[in-house]
Amino acid sequence: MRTVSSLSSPLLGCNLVQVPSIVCTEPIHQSKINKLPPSKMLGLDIKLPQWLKFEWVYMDYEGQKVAERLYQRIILFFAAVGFVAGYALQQFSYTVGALGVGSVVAALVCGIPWGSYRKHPLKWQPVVKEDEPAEGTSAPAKSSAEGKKKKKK
Amino acid sequence: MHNILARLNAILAFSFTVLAGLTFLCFLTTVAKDYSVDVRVRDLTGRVNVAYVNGLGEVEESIITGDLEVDLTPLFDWNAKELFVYLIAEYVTPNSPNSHNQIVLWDRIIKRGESAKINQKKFAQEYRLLDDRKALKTNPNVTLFLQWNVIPNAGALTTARGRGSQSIAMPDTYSPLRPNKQRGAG
Repeated sequence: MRTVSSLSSPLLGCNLVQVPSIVCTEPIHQSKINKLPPSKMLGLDIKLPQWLKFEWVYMDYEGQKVAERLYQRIILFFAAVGFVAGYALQQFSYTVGALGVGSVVAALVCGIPWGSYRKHPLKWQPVVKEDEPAEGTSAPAKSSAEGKKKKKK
Repeated sequence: MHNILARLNAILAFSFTVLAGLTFLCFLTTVAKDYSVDVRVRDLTGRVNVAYVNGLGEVEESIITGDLEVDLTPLFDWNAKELFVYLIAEYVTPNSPNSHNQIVLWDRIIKRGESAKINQKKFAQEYRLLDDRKALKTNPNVTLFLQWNVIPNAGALTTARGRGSQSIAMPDTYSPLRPNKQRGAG
């Protein structure tokens, strides 16, 4: 099945570049696409660093709930402290500054998905292997197509 | 909330909502405040002369000077950003359609952090005091008082008048206002 298209120049009379055209030897099934990492879905083969992996960047649902309540409390606490300090010293910039500090603290505490926010991971269904005849009618068709290719090779 | 950017966005949005609430509370704490303080305007002296103004013809011009003393520090609460202080000369011209005259003679901007104490001996009039009906000479009652606007962080721009004013009777003769200038012109 592999084809090689040659780019030949009529003037020089020789092959300049050989461009192997990529041919899919087998159709990509939906189940396989879902298993591709996001980097490969885009057509790029970039290895994501460990700290950007799904498990590291994302919180689970329970963690999101806790984080949302926590940042609201942090910001409101700093706002209350800033209000009292600003009123006592009659300087509104102290209030705004306290609120800014509270926002930064909230961003550090609740923005970064610390491990405590990832203690309730979702329970996914177990992975169904392709060899098992779980897909129904498509399974025999696929196997026959594979058989044809093997014969041709 | 599912990834970092969504969480930072939520935190920032919530912070600004809280900031709006704090600003409103700050406004509420000063909404009923009386921004008037005691002012001392003393030792006023006035001179009147004839002046010629393009379009008005012959008018009367006056220069009033005196001492001005006020401490505006208590006005700077946490909702006051800056003050615009101005000295007003007020007098009545009974036989004119615009009988109530208020003319700003002097002003000053006091920002937060600057010294808010004004102690001017023989303050220099900044703006001309002209009267096109010639009602300044022998005017028995020209009142000078201090007024200011408080520019707030939140809320309305308030106008307050200083407690304390002084009235003078203008002279009944013309006298040169700016001796050096008059000499140079003559």
